[in-house]
Amino acid sequence: MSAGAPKEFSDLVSRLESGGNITCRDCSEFLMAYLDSELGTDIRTRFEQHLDRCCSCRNYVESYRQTVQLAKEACCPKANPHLGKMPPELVSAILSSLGCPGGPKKP
Amino acid sequence: MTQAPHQPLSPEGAPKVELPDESALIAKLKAGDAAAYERVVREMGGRMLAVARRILVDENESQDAVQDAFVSAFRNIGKFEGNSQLATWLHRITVNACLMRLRKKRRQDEVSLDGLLPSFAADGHPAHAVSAWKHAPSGEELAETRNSIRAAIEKLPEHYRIVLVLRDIEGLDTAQTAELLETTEAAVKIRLHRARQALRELLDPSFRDEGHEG
Repeated sequence: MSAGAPKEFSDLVSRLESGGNITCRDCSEFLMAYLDSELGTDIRTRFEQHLDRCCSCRNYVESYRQTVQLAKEACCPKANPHLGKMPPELVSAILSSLGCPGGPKKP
Repeated sequence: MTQAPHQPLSPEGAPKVELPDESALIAKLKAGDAAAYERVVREMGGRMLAVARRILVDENESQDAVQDAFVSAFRNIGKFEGNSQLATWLHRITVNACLMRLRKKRRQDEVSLDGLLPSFAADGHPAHAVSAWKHAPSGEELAETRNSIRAAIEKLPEHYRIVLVLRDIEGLDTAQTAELLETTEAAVKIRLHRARQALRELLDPSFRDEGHEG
């Protein structure tokens, strides 16, 4: 089970089987499992029914998705070309440690 | 030493592209060809350094990790069976070198994320209603926003940050991440979810759309 400890998940299943409802806390706890399609059909349906009627949880799910996307975009090589710049001294040091005579060369 | 004419090994961030001359290059590396070593260092070094900088943040540590990674890679090139592309193999070795440095540097004790996780009343309702988020800005504001997102990632306790970087940014899967961090897949999933929740909380003040609840 994704996110949320196994015990918490078995507690959720027991609660739902005994007629309980998905709560906002459940939504938060099992959100990653929901997004990764790791919830069983019944729990997924109940999860989505909760989202249909809970604006706060809908906002949470969407902002969580945005967080993952924003982190990827902020750290991608295209957004950070400076991160891939090799200092010439490092190139020399590596080549030297490998026993290669090559030093810095013009690009 | 001369540098043979060649195509770039792989554009940064796109290790999936197999090069037509990769098998020939690997054969040269296995034969101890210094020019081949140099070519790999010059062309793959930047990509590997970017990985190290994302994981370690500290510049000196990042450079040392890349050096460790190259030494390890070329020492073990004989064991490279070509089951993955060279870029993927080097990526994995770089991540490993970075994690070794993190382990040496400090124990990765679990740090509390209190205050960065959602809080709920006893009945399961949230302590505070969650607002919708604005779209990320574009144009000139975009670079500034991305800087603040990277700064927020760096604020995460390392125990959580490292999982988020490996899974969401470096693109490793749960099993690979668990193996590298010497933990279980279940633990990786829980830490990743907590890291994302904490990052969401850190970004919330900047992205919350005050005029729109849903």
